[in-house]
Amino acid sequence: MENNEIQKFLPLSESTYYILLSLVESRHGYAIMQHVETISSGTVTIGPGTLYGAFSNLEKAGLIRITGEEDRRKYYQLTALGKRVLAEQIHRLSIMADNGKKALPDLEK
Amino acid sequence: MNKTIHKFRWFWAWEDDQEEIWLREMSNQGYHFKSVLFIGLYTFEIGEKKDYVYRLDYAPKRVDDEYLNLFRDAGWKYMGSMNSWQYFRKEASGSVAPEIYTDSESKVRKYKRILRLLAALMPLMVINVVNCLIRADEPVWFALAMFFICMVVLFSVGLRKLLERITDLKSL
Repeated sequence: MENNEIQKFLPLSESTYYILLSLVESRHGYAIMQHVETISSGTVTIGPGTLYGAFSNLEKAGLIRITGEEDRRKYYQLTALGKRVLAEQIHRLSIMADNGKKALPDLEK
Repeated sequence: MNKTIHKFRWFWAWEDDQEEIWLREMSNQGYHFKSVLFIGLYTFEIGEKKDYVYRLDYAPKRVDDEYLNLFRDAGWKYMGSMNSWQYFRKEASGSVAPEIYTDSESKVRKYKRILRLLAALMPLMVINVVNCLIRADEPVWFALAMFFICMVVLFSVGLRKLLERITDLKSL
């Protein structure tokens, strides 16, 4: 039962994954955009249209919640459910990455 | 006060990409988008030639500070709105044009919002056609019936075009 509750959100899109990853700490929109750009070494950019839509969808789904507001900017953070979804996604991704490395062992980039 | 020029140009709701390209081309020639009326009357400010990139968002709900601040923080200048369309602009830098929607999932959701509006209005148009056709022996009602039939056709084209866009984005 509980597992199904998590599975229905998976797999997360790349942007959603990075947004959730940023919200381990309480952050506002622009801080998320900057954080994602930095930790993804510039491979993932999140536009404001994408992020605004993600906020309302993720909040409705109960994966994130508003933690405060400052200068008309809302701060968000993961909920307990959001954290479990993210953990499960990370678990899946490491299996995927391990399989990839096994299939192409001499893969060096 | 800068000098302005006016231009008529009509874009359908599913042609936002073309409108964005056109606005960029206008800025490249030194005509910078200022405002647009729903009839397709654009006002441009005459100035220096600039490579401004324009992006249109469709936001049927009232836009709030959170929404506008998010775009502003990301470097987008808010240029105003027309019906539910929000106009943003940013100066191009580098080889990749900046985007407000950075993945196809969120772009699909934008087109679904427009789709929902058309789908909601469609039954009303059909009812109008039926109502007018019942009285169509009078010229006024006949003319109105023709008008609403055109609307139904137009809406159908819109629905199809939007569905095509969504399918294209999903197959990426």
